[in-house]
Amino acid sequence: MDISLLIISSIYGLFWGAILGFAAVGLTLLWGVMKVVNLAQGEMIILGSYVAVIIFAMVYNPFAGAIVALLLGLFAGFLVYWALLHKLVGKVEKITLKIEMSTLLAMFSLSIALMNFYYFIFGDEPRGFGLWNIGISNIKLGAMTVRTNVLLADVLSIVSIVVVYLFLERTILGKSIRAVMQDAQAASLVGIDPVKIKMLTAVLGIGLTTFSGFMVLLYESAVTPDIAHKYAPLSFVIVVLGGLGSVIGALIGGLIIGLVYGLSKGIVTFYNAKMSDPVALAVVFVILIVILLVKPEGLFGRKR
Amino acid sequence: MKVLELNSVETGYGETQVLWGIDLSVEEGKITVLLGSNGAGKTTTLRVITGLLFPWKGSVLFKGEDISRVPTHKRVAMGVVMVPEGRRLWPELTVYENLELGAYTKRAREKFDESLELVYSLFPRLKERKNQLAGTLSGGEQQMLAIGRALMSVPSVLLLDEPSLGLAPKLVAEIMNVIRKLKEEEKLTVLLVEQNVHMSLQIADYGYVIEQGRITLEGSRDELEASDKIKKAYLGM
Repeated sequence: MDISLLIISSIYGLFWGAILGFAAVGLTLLWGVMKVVNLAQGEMIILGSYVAVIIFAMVYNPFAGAIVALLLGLFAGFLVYWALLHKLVGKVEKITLKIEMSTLLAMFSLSIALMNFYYFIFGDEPRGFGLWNIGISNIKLGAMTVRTNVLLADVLSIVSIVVVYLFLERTILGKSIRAVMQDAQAASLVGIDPVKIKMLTAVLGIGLTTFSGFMVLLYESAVTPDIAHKYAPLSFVIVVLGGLGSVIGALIGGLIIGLVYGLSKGIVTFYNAKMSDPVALAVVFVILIVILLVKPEGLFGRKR
Repeated sequence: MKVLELNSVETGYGETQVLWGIDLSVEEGKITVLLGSNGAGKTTTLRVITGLLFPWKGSVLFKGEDISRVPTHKRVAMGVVMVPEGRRLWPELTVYENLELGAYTKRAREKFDESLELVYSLFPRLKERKNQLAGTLSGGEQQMLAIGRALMSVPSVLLLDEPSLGLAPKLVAEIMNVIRKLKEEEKLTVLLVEQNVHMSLQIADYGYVIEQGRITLEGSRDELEASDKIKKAYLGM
């Protein structure tokens, strides 16, 4: 094994990490603001991928698919809030463990429903953009080939995260979301309607999640229901690593997890290619355990 | 004119009744104090006024209008603003952001510059620390910021829940001075809830004593200071 293998594996890992990070942003927002652990995160990511594929088949333009995935996700967030979450978290001052369990179950039911819906409609046949790429051939750097579609997905992911970050940091609406995250009762005492903020968070969080499905599709080339099972657990690790509610934490967490995954995979591939993914995943979860022991609030989270 | 009026308000938490028919009013431009020991129902009374808790019986009137069922954030827009017990700042937001969100309602945003100037003139230290996270301030500074944030909401009546709690005597005097100044210079109406009877009577115009969820004594400052009950129970005379 030589050093260039390690470098290449790391770079590939980072390329994936930014996308992973963006795919976890919606999860961290819902979790941070109203303690809703979205067990349907993976299913919502690939909802975006499937929507992008369908729209692509209709108009042969992947960007139209990306926009529809975003809009549909925003609308889905609105529906999920009013249908599932409002009665559980809407008007409560303090979200207790009991309420958390209820929202957990609600989102779990939704994940099962969505998963079965995908199998029913699409089966497990891979679906993607076929041979489409953004029109630039893949870039060769020495021993490395970087797919332009992956580069596009990375740029879109990072730009989206920065936009969300600036929205939360700079605008009054963003600041009120952070205020509700830190103390919802204090927020109502300055005239912020916590119900409005919670609804908005669900809309934004789920909209960003389905939008990330487009980037995931660009990276994976094709979507199958199984992709949900690959991205959901990693999103959870990223949110815990980055800190609940922290968007920048999600990006940094994504990059770290991508790097660790890529590097472990590269090393294991050298000895036994078949075992590379399972071992890399195991390493990621060892990291999760270490964070929970050493810094349970995550890199950018608040101490409680 | 009565800015706030509570008519035989009864309420509590779950099965436990805490208030047993509270009658209380707050006059415009005056400092009214609500005195009582721990667990007497002071904070619960404020929660009913701000809408964090609804009355089981009785009513809460704001400028003559029944607001008993109006949610908290709408009462803030009307001008019922509270500095909650324990400050309740957003620790991960800066001093400036805390103040900025204080002026969240449309009515308050229109007066943003004026309010900010007032807050900075009352508490120059907040201006010096405007870019610092609220969680890193000292206890006294946090209380200043909590009052400042409430002033940003442009209150018609300012409710203060034990602002002296956990502060050194010198800081308590400073806070009381600011409250007096707000009344005299800004014509602000104040309802001050306190355990610190001595300090709060110095600035009060009128006061109530609450015991076990009932008002047991009320009167002007002089009447209260002269009453045997206050002397014995609270002033140690």
